[in-house]
Amino acid sequence: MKAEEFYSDEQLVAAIRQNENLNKPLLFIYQNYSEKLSSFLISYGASEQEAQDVFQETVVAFVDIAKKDSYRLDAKIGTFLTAVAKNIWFNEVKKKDRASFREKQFEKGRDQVEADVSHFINEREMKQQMRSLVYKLEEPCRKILMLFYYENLSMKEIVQHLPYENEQVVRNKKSKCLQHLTSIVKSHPLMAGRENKKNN
Amino acid sequence: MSHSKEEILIDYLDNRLEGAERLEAEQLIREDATAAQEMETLLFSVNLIREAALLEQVMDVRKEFSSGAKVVPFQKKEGGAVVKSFSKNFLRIAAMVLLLLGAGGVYKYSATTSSSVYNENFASFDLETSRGANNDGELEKAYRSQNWTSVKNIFSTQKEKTIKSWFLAGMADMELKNYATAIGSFKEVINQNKNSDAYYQDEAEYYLALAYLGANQSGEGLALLKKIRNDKDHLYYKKARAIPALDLKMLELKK
Repeated sequence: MKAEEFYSDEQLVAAIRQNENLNKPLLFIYQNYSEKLSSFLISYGASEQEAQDVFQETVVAFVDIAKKDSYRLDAKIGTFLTAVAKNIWFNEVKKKDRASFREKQFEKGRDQVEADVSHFINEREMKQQMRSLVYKLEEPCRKILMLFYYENLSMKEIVQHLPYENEQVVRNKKSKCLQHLTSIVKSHPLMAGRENKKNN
Repeated sequence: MSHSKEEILIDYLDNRLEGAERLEAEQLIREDATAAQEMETLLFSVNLIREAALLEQVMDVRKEFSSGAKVVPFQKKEGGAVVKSFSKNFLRIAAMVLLLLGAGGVYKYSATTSSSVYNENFASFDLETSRGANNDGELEKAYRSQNWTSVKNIFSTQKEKTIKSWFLAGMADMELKNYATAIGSFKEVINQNKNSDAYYQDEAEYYLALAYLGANQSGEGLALLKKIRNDKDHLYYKKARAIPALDLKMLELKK
């Protein structure tokens, strides 16, 4: 593990938004908040594995939220992460229907930050559920789409990463892969439900 | 939505259109409700790609953090006689604990193999609980009576091989420990699913991962298991999650 880089809350958000070498701010988050938040979640009934998984999901949610221009630092990042983690764990517990546990542990004493982040989390629930659809694509498709839309590589750069003849071949392949993904997305019941809600 | 309109929307999404072409695309989205909806789905899909890629990056960092966190550097503390004596005892105990942990670790490392993980996690596929149980053919009957060689023979004589028969033939090979042949059959299921509904897809992926482990191809097996362990919608998510992470880590180190 590389040496720890220090970020203030503002610097951390700025580093995430910059999106260059995201690993450093991510590692900083793990180094500074993982243990504390995992213990916190375990105290709320999560197993060690569940706590680590919820923390991982918390980091994904936080990065996603922090990248949005609408995100403002009203609370300290530690407080914000705690609220996000608690909401995610709350939803997990809800799914598992541990009703009595939920009532005892959560409904009492939800603070303002938790209430504030809950709408972010509800939005993310659907994304999280549908994320797995990306893995219905074959690996070459996933790779092209991730290199283009996440790593922001040009077609020319992608040709250097993947065994395709030229930029045009990659461009055609990328279009087909995206069309395939949208067809999978459209046929997902959650997406159909979303359309129905809109139409009603 | 016509193919060409879809291409236009993708080009617009990728910021490849300029001038009149760009204006035309914008007009299309404004005036054609289907196009507007298609655009929204495209944007949503791209968000999912970014989300999946971000998750992969976070998982890599988690892995790096977890492996690094085990190495805690010892910091020598300066202090008086009492502290020194405590430190000595503490170090002795710590050394013993480390020795025991080390011995346990060495044992675990040497005892964990692709075959051991396979043996601990392979369970026969129960056709009774599967879909289509009422449309039994000869192959299914042979499978239910666990006559694996017969399953193979019937399969080899079938003129039209269905996805289900490929899968059951693969399972028969798993039972007969013909892992290489099983791998071929499960790959065929996955391959045929590209052009049809995802029939036996999740089953084929999970058993393909186990077949790879049985065949000592741990790299391929681990990659598939990783995919299943990250997909909460996967039918075998819980089974894949039930495999101890330490065992998978050991296999990864041995690759």
